[in-house]
Amino acid sequence: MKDQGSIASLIGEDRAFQEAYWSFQRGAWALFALLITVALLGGAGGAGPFARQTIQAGSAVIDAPRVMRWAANDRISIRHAVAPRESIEIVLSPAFNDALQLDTISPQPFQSAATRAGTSYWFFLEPGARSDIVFDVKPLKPTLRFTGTVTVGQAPPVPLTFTILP
Amino acid sequence: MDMVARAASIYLVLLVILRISGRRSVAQLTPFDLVLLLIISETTQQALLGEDFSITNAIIVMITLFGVDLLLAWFKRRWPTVAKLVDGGPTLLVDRGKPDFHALRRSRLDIADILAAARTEQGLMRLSEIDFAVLEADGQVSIIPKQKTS
Repeated sequence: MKDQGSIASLIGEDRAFQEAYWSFQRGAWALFALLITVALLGGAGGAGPFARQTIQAGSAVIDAPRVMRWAANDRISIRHAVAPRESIEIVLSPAFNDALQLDTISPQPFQSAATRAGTSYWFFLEPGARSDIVFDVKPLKPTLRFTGTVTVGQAPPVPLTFTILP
Repeated sequence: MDMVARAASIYLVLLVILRISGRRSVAQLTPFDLVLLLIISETTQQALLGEDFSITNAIIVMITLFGVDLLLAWFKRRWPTVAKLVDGGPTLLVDRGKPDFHALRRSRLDIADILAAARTEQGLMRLSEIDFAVLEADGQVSIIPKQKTS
């Protein structure tokens, strides 16, 4: 008569390992559920209720993603509810050049320059009207924590931090 | 360098996800499983190649995938524990005619799956005709019928 031990050894079953694997598998499924929830909330980039951050920079509000994805298009916009003057200078610190490829800027700046403080862009605005300046960007490399500064007009530079996922 | 890292990481991620998702052999694939596999291949294609559709990139990605596969095969031969981790092992589902409901539930199988395998493999219709049923590492269910006593 075959006993369970001999059957298990005959077919090469390792029940202890199998039990451990099943427990690990259930834990991994819980992790899958967690990752899906994080992605739905915007924690993996793209859309979601917590996908974007807004930072006050003087009279403007910077709207940027919290998490970007390597080589995927994303958008940083600088909004004035009421444009304060006819033109404004926006300076992106040099760190942006290392992390992001700038695809398009809308509207086009009428002047730009590479300075010690970073890249400066000058835009025409309609005083008193709402204005949106949009930078379409593409991350160049995965980064756990990117920090650059954005200077809008005469306001002090504000840090902009985000993660770039692979 | 990044294309090698992309290919190797996609290989490992797919390996882990498929291993965690559970066993299901190609022979057991439902039409929807097949569609799911096609979607997965389409999804991973962009991540594998990025925006570089050159022949050089494709060749490097293919060589990397085969290379990682060969390396893993060597690891499995060299260290049996790696083989057990990557491929899993057999699980006894029916022992001397008695179904192990715990193992069945944990393997996401039921008696109907055992009976289906028994019909296909051995032409058996009843559970009482089965001595042993084993879930193999490749996802197939092997059936050992009871010895007929005359």
